[in-house]
Amino acid sequence: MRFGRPAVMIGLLLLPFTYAEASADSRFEGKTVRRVEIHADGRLTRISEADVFRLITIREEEPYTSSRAQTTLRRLYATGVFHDVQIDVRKSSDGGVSVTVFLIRKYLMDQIRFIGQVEADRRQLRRQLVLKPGEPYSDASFEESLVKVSSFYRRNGYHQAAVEPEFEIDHDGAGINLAFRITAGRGARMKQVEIEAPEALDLERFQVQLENARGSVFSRSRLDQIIRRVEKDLARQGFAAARIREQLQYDRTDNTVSLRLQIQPGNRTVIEFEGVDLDQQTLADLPVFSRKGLLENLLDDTTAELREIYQRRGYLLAHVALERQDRANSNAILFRVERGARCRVGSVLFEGNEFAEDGVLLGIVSVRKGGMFRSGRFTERMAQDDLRVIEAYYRQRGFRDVEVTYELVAANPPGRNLKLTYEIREGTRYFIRDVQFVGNEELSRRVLENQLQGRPGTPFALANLTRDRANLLAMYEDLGYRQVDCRFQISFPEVAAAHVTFVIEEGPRHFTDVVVLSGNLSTKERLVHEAISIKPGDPASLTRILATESDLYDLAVFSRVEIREIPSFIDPLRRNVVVAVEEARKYTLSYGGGYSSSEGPRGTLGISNGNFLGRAETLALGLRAGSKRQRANLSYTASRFFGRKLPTVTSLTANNEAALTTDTEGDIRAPRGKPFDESRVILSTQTERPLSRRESMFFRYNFEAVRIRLPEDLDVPLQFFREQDRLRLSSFALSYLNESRDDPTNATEGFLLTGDTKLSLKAIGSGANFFRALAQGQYYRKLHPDLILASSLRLGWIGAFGLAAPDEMSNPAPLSERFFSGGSTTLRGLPRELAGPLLRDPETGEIVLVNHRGESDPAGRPVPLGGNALLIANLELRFPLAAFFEAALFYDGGNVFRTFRDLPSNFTHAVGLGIQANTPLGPIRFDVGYNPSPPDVTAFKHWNFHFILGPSF
Amino acid sequence: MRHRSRHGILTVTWLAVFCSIADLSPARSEIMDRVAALVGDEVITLSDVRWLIQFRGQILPSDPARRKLVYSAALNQLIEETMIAREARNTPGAEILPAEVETRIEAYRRHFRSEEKFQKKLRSMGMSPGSLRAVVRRQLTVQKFVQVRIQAFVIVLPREIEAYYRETFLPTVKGGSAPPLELLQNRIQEIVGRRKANQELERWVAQARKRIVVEVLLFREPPQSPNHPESP
Repeated sequence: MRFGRPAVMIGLLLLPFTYAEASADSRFEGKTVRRVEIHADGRLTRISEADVFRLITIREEEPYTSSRAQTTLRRLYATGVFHDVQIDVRKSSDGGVSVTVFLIRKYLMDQIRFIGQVEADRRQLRRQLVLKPGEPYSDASFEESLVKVSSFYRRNGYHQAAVEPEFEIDHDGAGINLAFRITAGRGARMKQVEIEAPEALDLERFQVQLENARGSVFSRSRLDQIIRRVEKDLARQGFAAARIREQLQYDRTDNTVSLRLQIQPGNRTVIEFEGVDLDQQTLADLPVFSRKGLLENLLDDTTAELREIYQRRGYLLAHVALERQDRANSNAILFRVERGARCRVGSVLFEGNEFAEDGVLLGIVSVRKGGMFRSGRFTERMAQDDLRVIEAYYRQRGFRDVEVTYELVAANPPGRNLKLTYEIREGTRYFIRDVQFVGNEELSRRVLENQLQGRPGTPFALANLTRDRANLLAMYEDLGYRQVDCRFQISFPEVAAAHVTFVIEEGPRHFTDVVVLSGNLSTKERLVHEAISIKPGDPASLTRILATESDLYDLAVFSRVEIREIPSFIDPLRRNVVVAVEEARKYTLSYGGGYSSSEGPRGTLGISNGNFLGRAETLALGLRAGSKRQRANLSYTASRFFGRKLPTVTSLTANNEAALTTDTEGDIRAPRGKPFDESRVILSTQTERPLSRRESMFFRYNFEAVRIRLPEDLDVPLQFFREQDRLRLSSFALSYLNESRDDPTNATEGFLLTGDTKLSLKAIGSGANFFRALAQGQYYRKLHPDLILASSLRLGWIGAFGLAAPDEMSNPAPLSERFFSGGSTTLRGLPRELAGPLLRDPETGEIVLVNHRGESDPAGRPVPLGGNALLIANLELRFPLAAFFEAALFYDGGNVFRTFRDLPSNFTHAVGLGIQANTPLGPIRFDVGYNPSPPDVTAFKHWNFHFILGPSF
Repeated sequence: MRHRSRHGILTVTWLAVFCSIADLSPARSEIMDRVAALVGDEVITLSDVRWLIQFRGQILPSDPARRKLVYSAALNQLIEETMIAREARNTPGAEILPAEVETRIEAYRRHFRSEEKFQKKLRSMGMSPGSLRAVVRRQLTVQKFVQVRIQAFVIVLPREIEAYYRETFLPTVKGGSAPPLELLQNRIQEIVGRRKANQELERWVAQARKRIVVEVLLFREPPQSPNHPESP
């Protein structure tokens, strides 16, 4: 359609309501609708027919009106699924009308690929696209994408590149796959390079660089890099406002590019330094050289940056002055730095603080005093920030007039140490005397008051009132009052008392009319609707929209969830809700390979279906194959269990581990490592029940069948293993987790509580009747900003019950279920897993020592048997050293015991020192533990060294 | 199926959709409503166009070509009104109060001898009170926007009044003596002001058309997905 003169002429704006001949449509007005049908131009995949009918306001056996037809059109179009909707009406034989709604689907982009001789980074190519996967196709977007991709190639020197689109259209699903077939051709070469600049400029080295580029393939990124370097260099020469224009000329005949750089240097402002000993790179990174903007701002920033740099280096009293000098051909700016002596903050003091204790304030400021190993932390910027932090702390507690300043002076006696004093003028503390609400009709004063932090009697804090206002707004919005407004008025009728009035304008209440699901292709609708907590007739609640979005993402089958509210087109206070989802890819394939000297080559393969049978559940198969170890795991993860939201994982694992080899005569031998082969089948199912944001309960059933194959010629003491050669464990377990640590990898505050109980019963197929319980508590607290107390207590017990044999009563659980301890994360005064009872020769009673091949060897290591009771206590004091290193003094006490009766005689103690490096990958730690009374066995020593990646307990 | 030629598939799709729709569309059926145009993400329906034609008091000609012209003109006006209404939403001073809408509807109502006749007329047009309110609100919005953003900035200079009097008015006077300029000054100022405002509006609309994607579907036959890559 061509557009010319505007149709809305000012004279036509006031149209009279005139009598006009009824047009053709009035023939059907008021006629009874006998039938309503829908007809789409293909299969409806992104919206169900039921949802379409929900949006149609023309109902059977009700009168037909154009108004309803129009509402239907608008409601259907607003879903975003259709590009056109048409309503067809015809007379039926009984005097009524039949209505057909024609739906013309919107074609969406599925996949966009680049194939052929691409030669460019696909991510960069994708950035050129206007068409995006999941969005509607349009000719205009396609043409623009094509042009942008083509020009991207030209810009990057591929002037002969051909870009051909290939469409693959899924008529059934109204989706489009688009492939850009690229024939990049040869990149143009640089033929001529020229710099046009005043002679005064020193650009020799760039000319050399550009000369070197001659003959090579043109590269946009390289040219940009050179231009940036030229700009930086010019800035250093005093031409911060220099402008560089590039001219590229392509010669089709020989596929070459000629480059001409025109430099307009502008006025020269020479930047000079005095008293500065920074390296070239640090200088180049100063704002005056590295940033663009107003010169005055850049100079201010550079002054602050220089002061910051020197203060960080220990010149806390560094002074930076700026001088301007007029010279013959230029202006000069001189940064004069007077570093002063290197010093450190020896003490951080607070004066005038009656309300807050020094320790509390020390905890919130960022400045740190120096210590024996540390130079401390101080810069002017940090101190300024601290002023704001201290003021905010006080204001939050009712001190609305608080003022804080700081002073850095030489300590007495004078020396390297400086004294930093924060001067606090607290002022009067204000409390809220009275809170009033005006304009609240829907919600009572009591309900509103419950939302407030700033209640009568609490300290007056503006930040709290702002938060309270947000809470009130959220509560109203949650009830459907979308146009609600709330503001607060404060008055101070007398000293130390504040009167607060919340003025509320509720506005109209909105409700949900129809909820429509779009874009769901294969997930069961029942499941998706269960996750949608927005229901027709409910108040239009923002919280529910967010909860629905979160619950749909929790199903883990959608890559995108978008909830749009659209008008109902019937009642301005009713809204339709379109829940638009995009399903993620169902299948994931993973594979890998590796080699180890003990196992030889090995490979892994994993395949999973994340939306198995459309039930939003995951079926995964993982395989691991190697010459010594094979493992297969089939797992099924469901987000619901018996209709309740309880994430459940059921898995079946088969594991085979071969340590033995056979010799030429077929005899089994144990060449290295464990002296037996092991096959293990594990069936397990676990469900999790979150109790709160940080608490969860886990219920688990576990069945394990273990078979051990032993060599014939085992030493007598090692025949002990033969008792364990066939083992079945069938158990129910219940676990509890309560986590409030600030950082699980390197906690400084909070606690962790875990409890794990297991009941193994012969009645359900287990080889032994026993009960196993293990509880752990960890507690972290900052005793001082630089001193952290970390503690842990572990307590475990295994007991027999039922009709157990005497031997079973003393040792109810098989080896794999007993407690083992000792080493870097438990008892650092003992070697790894050597705490507790050890294997003894049944005849001599001596501790058996074996080498790495499992043979008796007096220079070998003891064989731990594990225990039925465990008590471990750890206590650490952590404090920072220089940079990212910290140290810890620790005490570890406890042991693994046959029974708790052995506790007094076998309790061990150890003290030690640890050094920890806090890296982005987590802590790396080296601990030295001293055991004052180690057992008199080769493997045990007074001094024990441990290296560990991760936390100490 | 992979297609290299966009036009090859066009024919197939076109025919397939045509046949599928045609089969279900008996000769006597009539498209009573459809999406006539899209202005950004806003829909103008065929019934909107019909209502506007009826508001204007136009009688639809029987000749299909002339009929199409009437529809096209009405649709064009609605597109521009929608563009202005979009802009007006973010224009301070262009808000319309519910009372203003009711006053205007009351003014319309007074054209009828009774409330019953007014309602009968609405029913015959297929309009509900809600849709009438929506139409009136849109028109008032356009009117206010033009007042606030266009007419408020139109200044008519004395020389423009003189030029109009001399070059446009005087040549139309046949015989007798023409009334003096002083007598016609206010009237001419109004005419020239409106003309300048129209020119300004024309310029504004032309710029708005560059910013907002407008797609007209009304004359696209047979119905098919217009965002299909092989559409004509």
